[in-house]
Amino acid sequence: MSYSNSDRPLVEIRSLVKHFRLRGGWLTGRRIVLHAVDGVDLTIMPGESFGLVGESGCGKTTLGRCILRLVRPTSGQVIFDGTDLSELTRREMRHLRRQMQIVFQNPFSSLSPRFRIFDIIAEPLRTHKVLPKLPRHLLYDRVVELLEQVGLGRQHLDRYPHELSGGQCQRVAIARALSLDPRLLILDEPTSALDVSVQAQILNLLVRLRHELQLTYLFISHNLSVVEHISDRIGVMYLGKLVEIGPTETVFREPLHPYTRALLQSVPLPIPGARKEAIPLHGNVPSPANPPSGCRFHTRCRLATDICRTDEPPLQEIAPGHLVACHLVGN
Amino acid sequence: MGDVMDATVEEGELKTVPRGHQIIRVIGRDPLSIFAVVIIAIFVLVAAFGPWMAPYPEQGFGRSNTDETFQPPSPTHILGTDYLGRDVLSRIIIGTRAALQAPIIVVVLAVAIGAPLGAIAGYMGGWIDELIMRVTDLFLAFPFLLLAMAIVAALGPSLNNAMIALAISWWPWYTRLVRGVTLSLREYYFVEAARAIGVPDIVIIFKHILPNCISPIMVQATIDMGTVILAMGSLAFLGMSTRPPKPDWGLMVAEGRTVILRQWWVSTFPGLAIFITVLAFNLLGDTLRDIFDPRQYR
Repeated sequence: MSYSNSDRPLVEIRSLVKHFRLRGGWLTGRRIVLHAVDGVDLTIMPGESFGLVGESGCGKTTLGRCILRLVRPTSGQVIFDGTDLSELTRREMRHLRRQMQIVFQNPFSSLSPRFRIFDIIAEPLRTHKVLPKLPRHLLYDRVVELLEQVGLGRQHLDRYPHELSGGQCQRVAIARALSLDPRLLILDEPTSALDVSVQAQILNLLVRLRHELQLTYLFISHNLSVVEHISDRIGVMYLGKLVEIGPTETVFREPLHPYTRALLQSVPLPIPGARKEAIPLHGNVPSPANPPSGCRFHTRCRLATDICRTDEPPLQEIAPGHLVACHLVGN
Repeated sequence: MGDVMDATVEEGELKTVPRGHQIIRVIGRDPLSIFAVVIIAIFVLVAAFGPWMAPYPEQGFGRSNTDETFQPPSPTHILGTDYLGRDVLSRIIIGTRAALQAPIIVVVLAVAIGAPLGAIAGYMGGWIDELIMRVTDLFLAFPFLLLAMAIVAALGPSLNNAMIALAISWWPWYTRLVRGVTLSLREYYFVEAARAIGVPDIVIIFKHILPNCISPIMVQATIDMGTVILAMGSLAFLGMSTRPPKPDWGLMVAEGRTVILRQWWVSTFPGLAIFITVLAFNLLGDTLRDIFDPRQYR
């Protein structure tokens, strides 16, 4: 564990695919396969904060769950710090879970309603027997330390989740995720269920914690402003595929994929008239059960040509660190 | 987003009310729950102190008194006497203990078998779910009283065997109930969070799933108390449970049924005792759900 090469990616995702089989009509016998994640390659370096954006239903949450093995990928590999997760036994995987944790979208449903705050945060420590032969006061001290780290205090120890506000619940969920000193934290829309002022508090808390604890973030969100605030690099996902990856600043200044541009257009800007040419999105996201041929975005793309309807564009490096999957870019 | 935003969230201290007061408050909100609690408290007291409360305890336990058969209700025998001259009130009082004990044991057994199986079926899914649920279907395919009777017939009639038989035919209801609740609980993030932490499945089932099933189980169990009292009565009525001369409400109804038109009190009063207890337990079901839900304490 102590050895960690900074050149080695912390997470490496290789052609990850997750299909969900849905039960079709019993009489027709048709199988419906939902293409939630359809061939994603991604590397996240230690200490990095990677933002994953996309509309709801594009597979970004499933991608996060595949990394944690909360769902088993259909194919492809997730390599965590040099270890291929698919080759691990249950016990080895359980052990590795100490190094990667997740914070969910809904703070109320992510805490068991019958546990007191103390037990919620102590549970990971007890499960992994982190403090060997642990005297109770050590556990107590550690839980209080974690609570204070996320801006709560010992007065919250004996509360039940329903006695806390949404923001406080989310702080408890963060404290629980931090209790095992993880290296990777997957944040699955951690602020989208909160109101705006609380969102800002939680985001600032996350920024602070990342620097204090040298964490690596995978920040999943549909809110571009939030992602811009917290990420070093971002990836844009559309219908189970990454369409653009690049440093946050570059992508926001110079978005190349038509979808990314359209997404950025939708962000309200504080400066009137600051927009470049508008490429409005029309129509809805096609069903992931029946994704379009060729480029998945062609049904909604104004610039689509014949090749977009037949050939799937590969993810190509246009500038150093800036990857785009579009036929119209780079040629 | 300035530094101000990052300040610790402060909020008013919650008033902590002792749990006992909270429970009393929940009960006091509804006159029907007061009624249920009072009735059940009376029956529990009678069950505990019956031998000292009954006017003729030895008749209650079964000694016959052939000089006074079929006396109508009167100041000496408030609820009359039966075909062996035994005081009906005393027999009801002495029979209370068995009448309350047996259903509690039956329901506790049924929950102990049924609830974990339901949680396992709902949480694990797949062939385990399929297997457990098909077995419960097998049990539920029989009318429960018929199944219980068959089991008693195989084991031999006695109070203990009747309880075992009822528990065996009752647990599948709890399996179904808990499985249903588990299916919805499984989608909650706290279950996924526990998996992400690496909590073993069996611990998730017993620490995260089952405690959150307590409210529906309690409601179902309390309402079932009434049904089991009735079922125990039915088995006794059919001579498949308590044997005479021991007092049993269901047995007493059975003993009086041939003379119900002339000596109506022999069957009516034990029947009323069954009726009131069943009603009280049904009403208590709703109250208990409120008590067991921590969200009620605001």
